Amino acid sequence: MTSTAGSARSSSAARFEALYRAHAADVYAYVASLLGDRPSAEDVTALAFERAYRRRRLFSPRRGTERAWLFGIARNAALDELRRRRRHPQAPGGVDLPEAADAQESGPDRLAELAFRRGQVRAALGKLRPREREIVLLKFHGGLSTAELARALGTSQGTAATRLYRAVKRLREICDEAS
Amino acid sequence: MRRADPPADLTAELRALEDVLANRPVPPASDDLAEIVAIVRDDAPDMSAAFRARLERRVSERFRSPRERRLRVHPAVGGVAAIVAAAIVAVVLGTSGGSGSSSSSSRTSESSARPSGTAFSAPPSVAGSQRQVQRTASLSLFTTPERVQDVAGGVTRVTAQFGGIVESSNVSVQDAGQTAGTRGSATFSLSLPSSRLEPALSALSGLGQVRARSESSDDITGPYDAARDHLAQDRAARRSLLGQLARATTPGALDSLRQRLRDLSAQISGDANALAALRRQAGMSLVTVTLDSGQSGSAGAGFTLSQAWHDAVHVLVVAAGITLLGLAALIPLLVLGGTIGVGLPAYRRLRDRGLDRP
Repeated sequence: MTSTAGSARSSSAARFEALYRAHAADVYAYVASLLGDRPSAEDVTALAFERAYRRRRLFSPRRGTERAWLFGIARNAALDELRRRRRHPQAPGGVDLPEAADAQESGPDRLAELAFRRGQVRAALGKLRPREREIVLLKFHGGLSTAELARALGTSQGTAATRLYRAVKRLREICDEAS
Repeated sequence: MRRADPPADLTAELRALEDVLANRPVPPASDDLAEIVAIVRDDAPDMSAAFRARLERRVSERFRSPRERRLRVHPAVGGVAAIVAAAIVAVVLGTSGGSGSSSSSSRTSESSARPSGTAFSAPPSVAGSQRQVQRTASLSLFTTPERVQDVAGGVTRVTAQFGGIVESSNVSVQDAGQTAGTRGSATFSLSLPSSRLEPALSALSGLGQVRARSESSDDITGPYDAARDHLAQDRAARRSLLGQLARATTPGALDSLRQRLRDLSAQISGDANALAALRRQAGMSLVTVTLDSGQSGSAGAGFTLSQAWHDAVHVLVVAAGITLLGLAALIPLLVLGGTIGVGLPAYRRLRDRGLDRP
């Protein structure tokens, strides 16, 4: 532990910067997938990191990892944005998704098959209920444990595990039906 | 309602998901899951270069707003400002402590009107005069009925021993018969020299069991000094009138001056009596001694069922009061805790409604 207040502050800020660099891409991916809108995703991601910076001293390792804590903040910020949209509906902007490889230009059937499969998964994700999609995205992008998911969702571990299991199962079933 | 059992394959499925996310090998049955996870993660959009640059700049600037950046103060300056502010507060508080006036209970002196037309110069009051304090005390003693007369005699003896006077006394011994026993009591009003009050009270306290003792004092320096000044001024006025009388030539002037001298002499006599009374008050202390005894056969403390009942009631009242105070402190905390306990989940549910389709 450093002895001076200034050193403590710079150490805290340095740790936050490390946290940012380690998880910014995944947080953005989760928020963008949830909101489906790049400008909103950028605003929410920035807001999430700002909140995390201002509350960095409130983080307790006993309650989970820094990553889980950060994704919890990002989730709440994204939900606030979704609530705001419900009160003030607007035409959603599209998220620039990675373009599917042109089967004719690339040639091999495998690429076309992958592109087709990607489309199926994307469509299946869209068919999930919002709460199912949210927990799937939180798990896939955040990599949170069941306990951390439960804390982020405000439920028990058993409920979080069951909800995740059912969401993933339904996603697989929809993908199977499509294929 | 019995909660539904979790699906039998839940654990296996979630374990497979963990393996996929950790890039560990999975059984063939989970190949589709691995493919889905890979597609979802790969399909996620990346941050644009412009946004990444903006966000990194905000992180490096610690998310300070432009206004905060302009108003940024060096920590050393902030520390010095804090020290200066604390010093100003300390000086203000230190100088606003008041004049430190004495808390003595001396009565305020009121100067009476001087005789009109009198030309004289009154001597000034002696600066820094000695404090004049009237002291009073009360002493409550307990003894056995058989010793009431002895103790009463002891009070008289001690008073005389210390140069005091028994202003009044009342001794009573009642014989209530074989069943009720004998009971005695006495009351004394004493005047004791203030300079010997403490040793006198100690000697009186040794005559019996002390139940209560109190002392008080009244600062009468103001009235004493005022009375002394009045007397001095009146005497100076009389000297002046005597001088005028010696120079008077007409019968009318002589008669007038003689009348004024008579009036002034009466006033001087009154001033002297008042000063003497105040001097006595300061010089002698008033002491009240009460003596009480239990009934014959009852030992010194006199503990009765009636006293026990009153003590028990008192204990219950105190206990009830403490309980009430504890509840008064606890109830707001419980209400606050309950509000938070109910409010937080409700707010969380409200927030989650953002996920529901409009």
